[in-house]
Amino acid sequence: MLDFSLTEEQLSAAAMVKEFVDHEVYPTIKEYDRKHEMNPDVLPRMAELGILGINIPVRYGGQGFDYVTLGLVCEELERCDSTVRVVMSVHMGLNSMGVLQWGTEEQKQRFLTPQAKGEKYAAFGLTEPGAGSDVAAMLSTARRDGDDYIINGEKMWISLATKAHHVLWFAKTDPQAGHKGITAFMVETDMPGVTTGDIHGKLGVRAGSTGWISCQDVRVPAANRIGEEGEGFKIAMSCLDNGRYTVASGATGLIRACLDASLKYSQERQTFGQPIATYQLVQQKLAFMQQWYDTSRLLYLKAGWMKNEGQRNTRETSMAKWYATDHSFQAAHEAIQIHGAYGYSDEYDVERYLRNSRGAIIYEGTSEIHQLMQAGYLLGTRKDKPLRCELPAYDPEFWQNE
Amino acid sequence: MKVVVCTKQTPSTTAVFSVNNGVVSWDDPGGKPNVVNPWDEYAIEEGIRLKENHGAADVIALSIGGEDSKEALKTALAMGCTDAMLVSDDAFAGSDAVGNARVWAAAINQLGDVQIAIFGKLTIDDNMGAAAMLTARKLGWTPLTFVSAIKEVGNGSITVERLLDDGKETVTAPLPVVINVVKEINEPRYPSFMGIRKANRATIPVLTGSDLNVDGATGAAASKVDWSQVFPIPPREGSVEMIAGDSVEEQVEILVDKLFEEKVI
Amino acid sequence: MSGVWVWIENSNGAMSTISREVIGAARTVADELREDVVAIVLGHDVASVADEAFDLGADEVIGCDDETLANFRVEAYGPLLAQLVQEREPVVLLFGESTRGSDLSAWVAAETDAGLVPDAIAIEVDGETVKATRSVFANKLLSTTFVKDGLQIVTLRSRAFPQAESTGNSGDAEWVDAVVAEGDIPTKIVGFEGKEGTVSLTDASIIVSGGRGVGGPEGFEPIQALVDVLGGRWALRVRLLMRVGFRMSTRWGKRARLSARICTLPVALVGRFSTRPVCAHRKLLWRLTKTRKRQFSVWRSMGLWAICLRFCLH
Repeated sequence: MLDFSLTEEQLSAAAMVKEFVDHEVYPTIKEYDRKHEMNPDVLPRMAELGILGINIPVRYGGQGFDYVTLGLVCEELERCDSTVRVVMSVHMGLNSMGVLQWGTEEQKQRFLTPQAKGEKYAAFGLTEPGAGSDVAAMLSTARRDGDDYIINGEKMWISLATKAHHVLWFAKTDPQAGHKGITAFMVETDMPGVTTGDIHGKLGVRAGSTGWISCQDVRVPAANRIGEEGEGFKIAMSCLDNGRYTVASGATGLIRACLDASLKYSQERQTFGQPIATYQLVQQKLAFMQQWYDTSRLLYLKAGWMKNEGQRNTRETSMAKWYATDHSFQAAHEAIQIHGAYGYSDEYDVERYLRNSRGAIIYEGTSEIHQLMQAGYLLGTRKDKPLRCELPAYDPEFWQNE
Repeated sequence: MKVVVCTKQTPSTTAVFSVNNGVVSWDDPGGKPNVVNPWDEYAIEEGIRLKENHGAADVIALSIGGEDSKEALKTALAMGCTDAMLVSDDAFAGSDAVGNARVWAAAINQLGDVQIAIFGKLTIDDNMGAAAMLTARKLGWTPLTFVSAIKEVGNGSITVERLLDDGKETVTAPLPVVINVVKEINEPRYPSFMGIRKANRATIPVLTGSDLNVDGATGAAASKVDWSQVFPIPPREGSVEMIAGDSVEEQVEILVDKLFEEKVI
Repeated sequence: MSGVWVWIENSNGAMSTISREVIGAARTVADELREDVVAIVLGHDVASVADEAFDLGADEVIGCDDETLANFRVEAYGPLLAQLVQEREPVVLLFGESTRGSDLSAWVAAETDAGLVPDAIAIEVDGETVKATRSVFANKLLSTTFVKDGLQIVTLRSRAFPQAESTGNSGDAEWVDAVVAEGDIPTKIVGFEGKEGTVSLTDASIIVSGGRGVGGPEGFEPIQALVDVLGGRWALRVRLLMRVGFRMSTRWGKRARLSARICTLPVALVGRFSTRPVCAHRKLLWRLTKTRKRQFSVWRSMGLWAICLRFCLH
């Protein structure tokens, strides 16, 4: 069975998100991008409209849509601006879906429900000043103390660092055991000892919130531990399977934004008495953008479909993320070329697209990491083992019933 | 209290139109080519608010047109209308405004016990805004047009604010009424995700001419108005000239020279 | 059937501008159809309006002066006009496309089952038929619309037709009785808040507007200067409207998507205002980019704008 059609529901949900970003995000995005500030209305509105819980079951406060819809929504969000898609990557992909996959029923009620309703914002604390791709190099520690853990450490490059209420925090409970000694915790940012701050001077995603979070002797109850002790690395990797999915679908939206802008401009702008779209070298750029868009979309939709079916999709999601982010950067680069000097100015959107596209080639696995992963699968040095908790397949009945 | 919102599926405002041999076609590269008439979104929103704030039990979205009009009705359901109904019959196609009003009136009568029927100010395809008034006359109900606020509903009457050319008029009328609303009345909401799901599962009943008791002539043959001749807006004549120069002084010099040339000064 | 009828909108004993335009158009139509222009003057204390209708070229005036007609209510006006139309059968019935004209025209169309052509921006007479040009399909196309059979009811867009000029004619109006008693009018007007003191966009001859390209409030100085220049010179002839739109507002929910995109040209623009899409006119654009803006003193700008304006209005 092969079916490329999307349902009316999926398309309507994406159309609704498109309407939201076109009317409430796009008009002020340049202004906030220049100010290096997040539009304070955006997060509450995304919460109010249910976007922050789009693919979480209704019984956990979500909207009960499937994983493919999450991808379509992310595509629409990043078609407008990367900052709004980043929100979904951390709040939904990296945190909420992690709780859906690994959390106990009690933890789903405590953390997932308010997150899906948008009452609490969620972030993902994995990267540290000295540990990015090399996760096992993290210095964060969690020491058991009675019914609690005492957490110390600092996380860096955390999206929504200063906005989030819940941070999925990874720390070593057994510092000698390498990545097998990592454990995941839900740190609540109002716990004593948690401090946060924003990072300034970013190349892109300037209208977004990126920062650092520090824990100093933060006492976290054992009830906030997600999964078992030592399961943190697996949890982090499965969260990345979901986060990368949102990054891939978002980057696909960015390619479409570049294509739309280039298509419009190339038919309006005249040189030597003709619209530049009549020149073959410009047409080639447009054709490439369409190719990148189609390919990226097929890749992420397949990953979304696999999630719906409950199939492990680490390789496919990694491929989608690698391909889409690399090509969103290329698309933005070509879009600027089509726009000429105007594209170099912030009067047009394409320079923002270029700046925004760059970060995704680094975070959630650099392109190089994804290349190594793909090679690993090819050479048989990398195999996905079954997990204790798999991401639940999309079951409309379970998702949609109260 | 039962409220009916009368909607129409129309081309999107961002659609690009073309006319070939008198036939109009359109497409919207950035979205759906056909949407619920944008003015009707205000009517739908106001209908839903009557449910939320004034205790209306049923808010029924009603449309006349082909099967594709169900999309407009689904938008209304996704926004929060409780029910939807489509009236579809080839015999009604090509009616003029008066003919359409006869069908609206028959459909509203069919629903029974309706207290308020709401229209948007205009339909953007034929650019007509007379439907509310015409329908009110065919129903024998009180028309209230250009409504910018519903202030009170209850005890068999309604008080509204109307936005007229020269000011705002507050007027009270006994129910039932047919109103049309202007865009100042509210901010239409987006369809909700839950509403989208509900709308896509809803079975929308379709009524034909034989289900309705339409009083008077309808359809193209009975239409007294012909607007079949449609053509693109001719390009404006005239020219625009940008005056460029390195300094204001230089620009002024060029301008003054030109003004002399043109014998303006 | 005979006569080209014009409904004369009035308030407080004064004829509205749009009705002057409609009388002008009616004169042209009536001359081509070889019919009389009949002005319909309804209201209270409207004798002077009837006189003005004669002066503006009406051949006949049918009036009704009654207290129930003091404020416009379509339930009072509609039955009266519908009855007159049914009794005397005019060929053409013209209205201004004002809020009231639109209500009354639709009422009469419903009562007489007549063809209704609203919001014409141009009209021409073809044989016995009044053919109207009107915008359709989200104002992106035009259509020639006409009534095929019977009474032709047409409403005319404000500012699209020149006003009738004084002819010096006078005459005696025919006065008829109202047909609806106060007690039979279901709607009661309980309040009215006029728009006095505000500027009417539709009445403006010139609109000065600035786009986002001027940057911020300080960028509007040259535009304000132009407004001042115009105000000084044309105070009696030109009503001004200054529209300031730095950025689109970010309100909850959806913004209206009914009008065309908000103009965000990086220029200040001066042009004759016209509601007619087919209108040859001259425009002069003065680009005020951010870098050049700094070189503009208010006084320099005022002088420049004055020259520009002269050019535009020439």
